[in-house]
Amino acid sequence: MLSLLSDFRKLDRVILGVLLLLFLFGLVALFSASYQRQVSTGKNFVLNQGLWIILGMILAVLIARTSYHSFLSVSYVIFGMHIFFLILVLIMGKTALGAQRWISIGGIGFQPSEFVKVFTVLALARMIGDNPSCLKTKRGLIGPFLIVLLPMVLIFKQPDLGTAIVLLPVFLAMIWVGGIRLKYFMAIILSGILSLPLFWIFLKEYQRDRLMVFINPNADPLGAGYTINQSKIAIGSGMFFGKGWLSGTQNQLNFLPERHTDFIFSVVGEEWGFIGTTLMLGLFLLLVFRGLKIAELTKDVSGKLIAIGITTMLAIHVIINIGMTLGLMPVVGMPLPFISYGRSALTANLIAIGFLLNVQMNRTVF
Amino acid sequence: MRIQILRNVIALIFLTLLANLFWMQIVNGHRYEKRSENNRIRLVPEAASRGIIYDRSKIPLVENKLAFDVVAIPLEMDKNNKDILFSRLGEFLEIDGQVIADTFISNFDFSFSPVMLASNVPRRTAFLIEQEMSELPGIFIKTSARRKYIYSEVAAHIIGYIGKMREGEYPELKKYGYRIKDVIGRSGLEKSFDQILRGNPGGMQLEVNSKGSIINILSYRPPVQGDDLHTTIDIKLQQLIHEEFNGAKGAACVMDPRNGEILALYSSPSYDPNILIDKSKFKAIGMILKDPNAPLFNRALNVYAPGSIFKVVTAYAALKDGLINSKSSFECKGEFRLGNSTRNCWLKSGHGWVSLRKAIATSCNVFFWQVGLKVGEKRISSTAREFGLGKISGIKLPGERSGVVPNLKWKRAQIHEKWYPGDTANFAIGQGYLLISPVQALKLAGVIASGGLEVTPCIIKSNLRQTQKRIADSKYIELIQDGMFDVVHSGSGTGRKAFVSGVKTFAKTGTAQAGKGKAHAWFMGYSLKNKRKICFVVFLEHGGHGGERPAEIAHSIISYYTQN
Repeated sequence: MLSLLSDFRKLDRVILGVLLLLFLFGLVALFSASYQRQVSTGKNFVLNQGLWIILGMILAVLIARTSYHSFLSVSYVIFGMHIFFLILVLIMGKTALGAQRWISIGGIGFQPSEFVKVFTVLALARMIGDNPSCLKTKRGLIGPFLIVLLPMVLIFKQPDLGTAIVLLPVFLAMIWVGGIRLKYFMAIILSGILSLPLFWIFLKEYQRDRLMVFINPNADPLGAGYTINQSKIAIGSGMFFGKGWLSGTQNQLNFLPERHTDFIFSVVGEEWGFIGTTLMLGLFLLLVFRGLKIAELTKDVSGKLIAIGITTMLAIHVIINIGMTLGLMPVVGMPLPFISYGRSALTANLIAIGFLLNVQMNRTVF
Repeated sequence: MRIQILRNVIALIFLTLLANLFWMQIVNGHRYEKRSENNRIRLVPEAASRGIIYDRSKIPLVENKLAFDVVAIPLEMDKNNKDILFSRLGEFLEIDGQVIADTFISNFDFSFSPVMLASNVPRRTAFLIEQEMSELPGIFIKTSARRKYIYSEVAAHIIGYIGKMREGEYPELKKYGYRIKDVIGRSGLEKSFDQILRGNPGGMQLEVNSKGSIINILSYRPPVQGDDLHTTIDIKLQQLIHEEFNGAKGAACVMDPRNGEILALYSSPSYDPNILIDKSKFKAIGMILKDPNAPLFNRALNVYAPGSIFKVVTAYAALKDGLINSKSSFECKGEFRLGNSTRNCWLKSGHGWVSLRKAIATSCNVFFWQVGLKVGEKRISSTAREFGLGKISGIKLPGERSGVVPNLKWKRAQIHEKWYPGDTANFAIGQGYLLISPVQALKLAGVIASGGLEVTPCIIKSNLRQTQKRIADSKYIELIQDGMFDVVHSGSGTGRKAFVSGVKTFAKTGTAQAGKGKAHAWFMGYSLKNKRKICFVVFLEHGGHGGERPAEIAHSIISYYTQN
């Protein structure tokens, strides 16, 4: 226990500080967003989330203690385990919102798709770290591609479009920093763009609806466009100072669906105004910059790539979630890291933070 | 190096998000704020009851009767069994369930505001539905004040009626604080005094959640009842005139010349305004609208050729200009040559030598042709205008027409022709282009009855005493009065049928050629008993001779007046 505390001291102060502020801000926002729900269901959302934050932080510190090199050596095994979970989800998963995302292990339900992202980063970091020159040849790229495509396809089949999409920029950032040849990189991006129409064919009906509604939210203002419109109204009507905590009418009068999970940023926008949204965005940007700084200072390729992968993953989560609440991106199920209510995403994100802190603590500095 | 590029890309995307937040929360914040208010605030209006209209002795002419409406409150209805509910309700109301369902859809507002399904149902039906309420979830009986026009046809043109605002009227009325779907006056006093009668609707401002359930009552303003209107109308006199006309086309007006108060204003044929406000009587409404006699039309305010009643104007113009005096006389041989044509006096044998007094009493055309030609079109025209012809009387009823008082300029501008002496001759006896309304004729009668004062007719009681402007010289008016006395009282007078013993009546008949059919018949004048005076005008469209039926109707009016 004592050593845990002494290790805690060695952890990156900036990341811990930013996280602490985000947790506080998040819990305050969650209290307001879940206020009505708590009254009607009696469930204490803030208490639950607080507990998971504490457990998640302990998990993060535990992960940070053991040098990431040990984790790298078992990374393929853990990755393989999660791929197995994903297949399990497809066979016997619980259905939520038209998609199968959940399985239950030992009575605890969780979403393997949230965790597999972290372990994909680890597996990729190991593969590229073991043989950095693999990014220099076409043949060498096949391995990293398979590692990212396998979970992507499985998650996409659930179907969980948002989570599947996140892996793509994470992969691109890692091979980019890993030293891929510029012309290969360009070729990958180009072929990605060209294959977009093909992608449409694989989408489910409701996903196409969401994408169509994203293009024109007013096409179906009471159906799929409702959430986007209400979210925009909530954020915009917050104006500069916001309507005040617990005073957002869009929030408290239930005009905003999914507001304690995916649309919690709309509640922040409505009740805290431009000041609140800027503050939150700033905290996230600080976290991202710090993560990239850690990567910059890490010479070891695997460590550097873990930091890059995790930082990019968090940044993409933030960008997609906020973009979605602002109507800039289609509505895909994507929680806001550390703020949205939900155990799996929170725990997975804190595991990711654990690895980031691990790299900062255990990196080899030449 | 590559990490810096990655950092810049991420920073740029974050900046884009920030710019968007700035755009939405700062630049367009007010727009979203408004939309968020619209989301949560609902207004449920509560109508104000309309003011009552009274006659001069405080007898109510309209009332707000308790009416029973069948309404549905969607929130309380069983959504899955609407059709069964409507067809069951249909059995009570004796209408098809589908019709009720359609009404429900077209009248639907919010889930918590009552939807009108059937208005003004019989009391018995309302009680039956009330008893079966448990069988009809979401259906309620609502009571409301319904306008009832107590004297139906007797005062229809004065009171008018009300109706729902039409879509096209809203933009114009919006300025005056009206709201869409408001009930507004459509005709008569209901229309011209709508602002006073309607009062101020109240209502509730409710805060609702996304399901439309009421969370909070933000504010409540009780409706303010409309102000009452006290008219100068004598409803019993009005009733009498209604009976006298018995559907014949025409109009009659009665006024107190001392203050201009209108005692009666009747247009015939009349209509029942109670039918027009009851949508369920659409067949009867159609009959009124399609009636060739145009009952909705207020004939007291429409314009016609006045004929001989106008001779008093010609006479005054001649007296004023010193062209004639009480002793001047002209010979009537029954015909009159003007240029190449010959005109006949109505009495073929001629009136012989006639003075002004006799000319008015016998309505001699030859006299007035000669006098008129002496006076000229210009002076007749200006005198007519001074006496209030050719412009609206200012009586506050909608649809009044100003009529035509012609002159040389008018003819040139409107007909594009020269003014001929024949036009002056026609003008002098109230024929030709001249058009006046019965209310204007009443004003003319007022000038003579008051000995030369301008009497402005009014229909609403007012505490303000009218200051009456002198517009004519009393000594000339008296000469005209003498002639008008003889119309009723002398053996050769044209209006002897209006004679009532013990009453001095001064009148002038008019029989105006008006296109095909019989002539328009006029009877205009005033009566005097002790110190009480009334002016009257009776007009019958294509009614023949002014000394016949109109004089008889005037007789009834005068008799009524002297008995009361």
